[in-house]
Amino acid sequence: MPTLNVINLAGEQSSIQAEVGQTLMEALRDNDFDEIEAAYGGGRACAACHVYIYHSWLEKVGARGIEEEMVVSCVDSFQENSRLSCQLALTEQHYGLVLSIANQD
Amino acid sequence: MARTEEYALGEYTFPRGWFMIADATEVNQTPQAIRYFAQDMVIYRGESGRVVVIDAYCPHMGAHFAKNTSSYVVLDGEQVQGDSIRCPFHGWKFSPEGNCEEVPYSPVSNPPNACVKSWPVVERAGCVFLWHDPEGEQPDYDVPVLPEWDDANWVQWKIDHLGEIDCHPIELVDNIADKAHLTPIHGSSEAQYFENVFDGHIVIQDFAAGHRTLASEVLTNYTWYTGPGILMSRMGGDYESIIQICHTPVEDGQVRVWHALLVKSADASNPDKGIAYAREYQEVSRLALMQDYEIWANKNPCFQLLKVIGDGPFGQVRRWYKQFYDPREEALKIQEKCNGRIVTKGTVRDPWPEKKS
Repeated sequence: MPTLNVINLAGEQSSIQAEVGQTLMEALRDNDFDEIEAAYGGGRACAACHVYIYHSWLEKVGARGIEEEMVVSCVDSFQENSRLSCQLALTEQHYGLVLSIANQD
Repeated sequence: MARTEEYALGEYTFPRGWFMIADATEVNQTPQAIRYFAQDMVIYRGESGRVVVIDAYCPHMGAHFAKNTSSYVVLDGEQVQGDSIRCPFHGWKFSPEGNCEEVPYSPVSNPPNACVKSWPVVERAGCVFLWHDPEGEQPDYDVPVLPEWDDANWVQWKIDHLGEIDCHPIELVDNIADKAHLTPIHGSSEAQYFENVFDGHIVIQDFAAGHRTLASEVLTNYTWYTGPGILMSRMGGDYESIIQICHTPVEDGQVRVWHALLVKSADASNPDKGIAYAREYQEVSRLALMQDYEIWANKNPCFQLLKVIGDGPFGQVRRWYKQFYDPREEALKIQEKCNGRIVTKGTVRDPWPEKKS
């Protein structure tokens, strides 16, 4: 199971277990990161699962999709390393991924 | 009625904070029964002018302090003496702090366990506010000040009673983030900007747009909640004005709502004209609120909204609102997480990013 390193809004880091095939949003939700609203349930319409991927991991995570780009670039908290966690399906490649949770609004 | 528990707001059923409970002009030396936070209370004005709110039932044998017209204590006008109140049943007298001061027929004059809960209250700008606190502590912030109330350039308001509505207060508070309802509900046109600032127990909405009925040009609104139940809004437009909207839980899932508008339209040379203008302006403002009210009165509860880009920061507002349903210690943590500023895009100042081809 991939281990992910997550930094929450308070700046606290923790390691969580995720399953291959889950989306990153599902893994965060299952691990009780209540900062992740996941309001649209993975429909890439709301940016309520917005995270920042640490730059050293951006290559492995890959570029944003066109729709994802459109949505996440609209929010006030958008950065170059922004991703919608609902759009990232976890694979073995993501063992050790480091990310922080963005403000969901 | 959708209950607090269904919204998963926190430990308490009713929030901590200052809440409006009465129009001060209606509080007099006849004790009146009131009910908030699913509790029966009694309100009266002592002879000094002080407003007192106590639990409704006498600790002796449970008689209601206010719901009585036939006791000789009431008929003889002996119920409010000084700032104290006498129970209509056996004549026990309680201080405004709720301590028993006199049992008229007993050598035991002040039995120490005979206390009735007295609620902290403040009278300000024609309104009575009560501090509700599940932890039973003293207020940790003040009722918002309103220096314009005593300013001769402003016309004092007459409060609109909007009655009770079977809607959880969170659905009313959502409004502070709700950029997207402003055009369909209120007739706003082309938003200039829309942002929210979260600051401890306060949340602010800063917004400007055209408006069909309240302004001929751009109308600026600087709106804020002080705690969970008192909203004020400074409005620009044709005349400067300040809206106050208060909502207070009566039962779990039901609130009572009041509206009022202070208008800078006083006219020393023609006072009646200044007042008439203020009353008309307040009516337009009330009607704008009633446009929200109709939605609240008929909607399904929203436990989880289907949010899209373009909606304001509902999630953050609801996180902020939760602080009032948890102990202070937890509330401070929630505040730390929420504090900050959020801009909602899709306005003249903050347009959507250009689409990449």
